[in-house]
Amino acid sequence: MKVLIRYLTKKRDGAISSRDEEINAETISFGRGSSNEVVLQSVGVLLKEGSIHLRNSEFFYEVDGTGGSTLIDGFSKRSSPIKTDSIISIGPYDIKILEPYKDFDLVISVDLVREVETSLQSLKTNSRTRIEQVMLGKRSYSWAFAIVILSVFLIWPMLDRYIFVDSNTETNLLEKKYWPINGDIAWTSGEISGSHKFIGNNCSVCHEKPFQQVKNNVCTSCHAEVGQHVEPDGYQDMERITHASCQSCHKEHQGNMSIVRSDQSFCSDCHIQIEKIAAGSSLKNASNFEKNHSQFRPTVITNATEGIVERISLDRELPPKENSNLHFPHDRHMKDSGIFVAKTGETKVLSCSDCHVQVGNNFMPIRMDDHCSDCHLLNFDADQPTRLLPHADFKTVKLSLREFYSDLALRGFIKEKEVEEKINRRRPGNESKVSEEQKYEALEWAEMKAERIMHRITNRSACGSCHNVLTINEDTQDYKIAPVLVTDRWLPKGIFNHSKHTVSECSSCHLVEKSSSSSDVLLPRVQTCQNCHGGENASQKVPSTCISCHEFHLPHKGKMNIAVKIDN
Amino acid sequence: MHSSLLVFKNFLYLKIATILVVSCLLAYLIHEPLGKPNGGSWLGYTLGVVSLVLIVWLAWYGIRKRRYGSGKLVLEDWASAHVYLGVALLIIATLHSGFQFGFNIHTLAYIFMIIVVSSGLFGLYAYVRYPKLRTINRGEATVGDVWELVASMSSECLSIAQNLNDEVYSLVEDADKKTVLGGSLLKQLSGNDKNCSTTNALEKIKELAVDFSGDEAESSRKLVTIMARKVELLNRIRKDIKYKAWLDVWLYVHVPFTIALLVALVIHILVVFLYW
Repeated sequence: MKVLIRYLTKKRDGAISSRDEEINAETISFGRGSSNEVVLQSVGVLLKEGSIHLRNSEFFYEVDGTGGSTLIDGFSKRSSPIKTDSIISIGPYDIKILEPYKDFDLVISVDLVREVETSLQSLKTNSRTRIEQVMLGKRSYSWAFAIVILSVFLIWPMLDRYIFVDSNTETNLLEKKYWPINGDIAWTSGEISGSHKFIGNNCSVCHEKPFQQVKNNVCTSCHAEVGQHVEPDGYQDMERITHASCQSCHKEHQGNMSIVRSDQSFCSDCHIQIEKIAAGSSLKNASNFEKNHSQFRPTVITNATEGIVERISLDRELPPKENSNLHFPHDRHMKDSGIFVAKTGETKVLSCSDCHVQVGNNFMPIRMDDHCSDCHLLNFDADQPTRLLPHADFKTVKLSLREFYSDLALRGFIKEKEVEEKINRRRPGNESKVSEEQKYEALEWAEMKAERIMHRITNRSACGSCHNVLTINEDTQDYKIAPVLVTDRWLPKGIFNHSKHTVSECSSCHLVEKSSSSSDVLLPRVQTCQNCHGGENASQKVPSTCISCHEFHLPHKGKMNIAVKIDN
Repeated sequence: MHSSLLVFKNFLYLKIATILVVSCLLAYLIHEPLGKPNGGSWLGYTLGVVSLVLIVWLAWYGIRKRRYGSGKLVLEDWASAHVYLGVALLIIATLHSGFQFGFNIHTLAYIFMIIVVSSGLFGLYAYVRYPKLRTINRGEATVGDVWELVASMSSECLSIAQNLNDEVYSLVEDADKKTVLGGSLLKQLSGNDKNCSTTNALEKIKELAVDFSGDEAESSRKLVTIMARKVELLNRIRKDIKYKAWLDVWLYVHVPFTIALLVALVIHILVVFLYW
């Protein structure tokens, strides 16, 4: 068959040029390969795509082999009759059947209708060679960060803290219902101290007003009883202590630790020259327990009768003596051979804890009934060894004696011969017949016995062995026990925790074995403590600061919140 | 330029930064604050103010470097000082924190600062390392030249493969139309493409060409030679993309986190005094 093939080419200016080619062939094959009648040199075209055949005066297009993606008149067919205006699409080409022309059996046009990307175009289209092509801009990320941080850490907490609050009850309207976390939780500047953790979730307890430092009255609203360090009116120039902000010493949000200052310099800044600063006081300079601390000055009862106490240094030439109106020689009680326990008839070697019973940091008071009476039996009559006098004032004792002997006489149990005749004439079972005279004699005898024993017990062998017995009137037997006043704490300005020192023998500090008088002040000297305790930075001893033994807030100096009132 | 940034003016800014850091360190060691060292003592506030001034000044570099030729200091001054004072900030802000950290806005600001300075240090490393590598990798060719070269090789491959069988041709076609340079962030940073169409095509064509003879064998030999050169060029371009990506990527951390730091810093300062 004779075929006219018209190759159409689109020019840059849009005009179309054509080139005609005439061929004679049995079939017209299409494909990339140069053996084809129509060579379609382009990507997307197979070596041989298909061919046009003439059968029974009719043209057919048949796809070759497995075929590519040829469409005939828009349909994917393996074989199809074609006629004028039929279009066969192969890759980027359209092959159109044109009107018959002259003597040609078939006229077709070949037109590259679909654009084929150049290699460079493909490479550029596929590729992303810069980061900004695959990521959002830096500005977008910046905005996103800014908005999220502002919302979570400023706007939400502000709304939660200041806007969504019931002004009447000052309670938060949102958190309990919808959100368990306080908005301002991320504002905390650090973990709150252990003792304040119970209010740690409620910032407004302390931070009352924005941009205002926590005021002292916030602290004293709970710590109302906290004492001053010096009397606010006592010294002119102590405002930096009496009017100080609580925060200047007690720094919160430092973690789960005490917020009490304990550093040595905190005290020594002033106390290193306290004799000059507080010239009117009896305070001594101190700056370091080991190197600069005065001798202990125990507060000693120098006259128990009149209640006079004095602070006397252990270094005084004449050592301090206590006058408690009680006689107790430690040495006689602490003998290695022991002491005779009258109640049981045995001998016992005493230890300190037999009398000084420790409870926690303190000791129980020593009591006659609990600690003395087993040995110091208050019996008074050899014939009645089990009868004991009450440990009471003389009036009670005499009354008790009189009652005892009256009862004895009236019942006729007297064993003394000279009175037995007179009083014991009656016989048991015949008491109702005691005459008035007999009664008188019996009571007279009882009074005599009571007086005699009263006289005996007031001397040094009985009550006087421990007490000072004051004779008001010898004739009327008016006696009085001098008031006993024993020091509870010799060093009331210091704190000493006995329970922390149980590893040491009592005698390593208290030299009781050689003490023959209760007037001895059996307190160790400061040097004894310094054997183990050093200053704040001691390396070979227990580092101890002032706060280890002394308190800053002293209740007897007035309350801190008084100064606060001056502040406000 | 980049290494000279460090030695600029005979290490002037290194000296300034060192003096600043040593002064702060000494003050920190001597100072005895109430409780643990913290940002609320007088030294804490001082170090905080120093850190704040440094941060604002360092951040200003981002604006300053876009304003050519203004001010007394040249841009190199700024860049050199930016590096050394940035490192100084890392130390001074840490001292300001008193090593107290927690789950709060204050520590968040600190973390942002660490991220910003660290990314900046990486940026410095990148600027010292990658431009050199880039120059070596490129040789004498410009980027445009290389791309043109690759494209022309690709076209040549197509025309050589014109008369080869469809299987080979479609591989060459894929190599031409589906080869990707760069791509996702990770691909750009890695500098290679395990699924490179050209590389895959080359390997397969080598296998197929074993059975060819005559003209086909000759064509396939040419094809393989050209495609191998194309692969080599592609990999060089990928390396270039990789170096460029590393030169740029740190700024995607450095800049947004600087903004995050500034915002957190404002909140940090506001909140400290709000809850004084």
